[in-house]
Amino acid sequence: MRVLITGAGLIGTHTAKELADRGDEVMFFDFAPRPDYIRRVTGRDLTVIRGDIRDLAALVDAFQQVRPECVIHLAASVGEANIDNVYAGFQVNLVATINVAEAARLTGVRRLVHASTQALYVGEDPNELLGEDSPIDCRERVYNASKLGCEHVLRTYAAKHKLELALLRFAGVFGYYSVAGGPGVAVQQAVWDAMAGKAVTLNVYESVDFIYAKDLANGIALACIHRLWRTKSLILAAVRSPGSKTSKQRSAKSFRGSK
Amino acid sequence: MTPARPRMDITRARTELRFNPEYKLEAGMRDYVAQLQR
Repeated sequence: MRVLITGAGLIGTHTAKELADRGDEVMFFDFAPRPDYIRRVTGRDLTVIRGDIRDLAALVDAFQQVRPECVIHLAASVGEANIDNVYAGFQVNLVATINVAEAARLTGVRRLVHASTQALYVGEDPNELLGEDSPIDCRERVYNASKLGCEHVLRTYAAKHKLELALLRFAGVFGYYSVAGGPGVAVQQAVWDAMAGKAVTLNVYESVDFIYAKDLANGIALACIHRLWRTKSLILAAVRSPGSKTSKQRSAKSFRGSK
Repeated sequence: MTPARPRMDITRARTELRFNPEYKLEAGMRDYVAQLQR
């Protein structure tokens, strides 16, 4: 399968590796790619088309060049902390997603996988189990509003133009080497602290759901290759142990010395 | 201490995609460290 991934960051590179290892042909569309990082994660020199997802013409050109059977749309400003301007945040996350959908329509792409987020869920009861149909809302946050808007836009495109669409709501993502935003930043900091010989407190990190980049890449690849007969929302998270302790101390040695 | 949030149910992904995550938090952190040490 020929796959175009928007965004060559943490999730994009790990997903590219997963797909390439399966024999799929993978290319990136990215504004400011880091070739060394892509090579380090994927083990390959994958083609990157440089461009801005806010530029519809550039996306159409890329889609025409690659002729992807599936587009995985990951490029975004991640997390509320990284969006200091409401207009710019909506441009990057929402307008760009409309561009991706329109470019898919114009070039005949049939399958689209989109990165959404667990942050949409409003439930706060720790005893509750949140599923795809649990209540969601933007709660006046730009990041959440943009991701919720993306889901509505893409569902509409899928219905009107018969796109096969997977809306994947990710848990907090962490992994080698660079987390763009969200709760995964805290895990990244913990790993770096451990590497520096500091003790790591996990109380924060066990209060929300996370997913390791390798697992997430596997889930995205599965969504890409499975034939979806109708639009699907799917949660991708690791399994958090029920009743896991809310405060743990792990020494740097326990991370560095174990496999 | 950060209050715990509800857990996410991945039953649909397990059923429809055969998604089967291998790494819990600590295992993922260990693998991350191993990658940094390479």
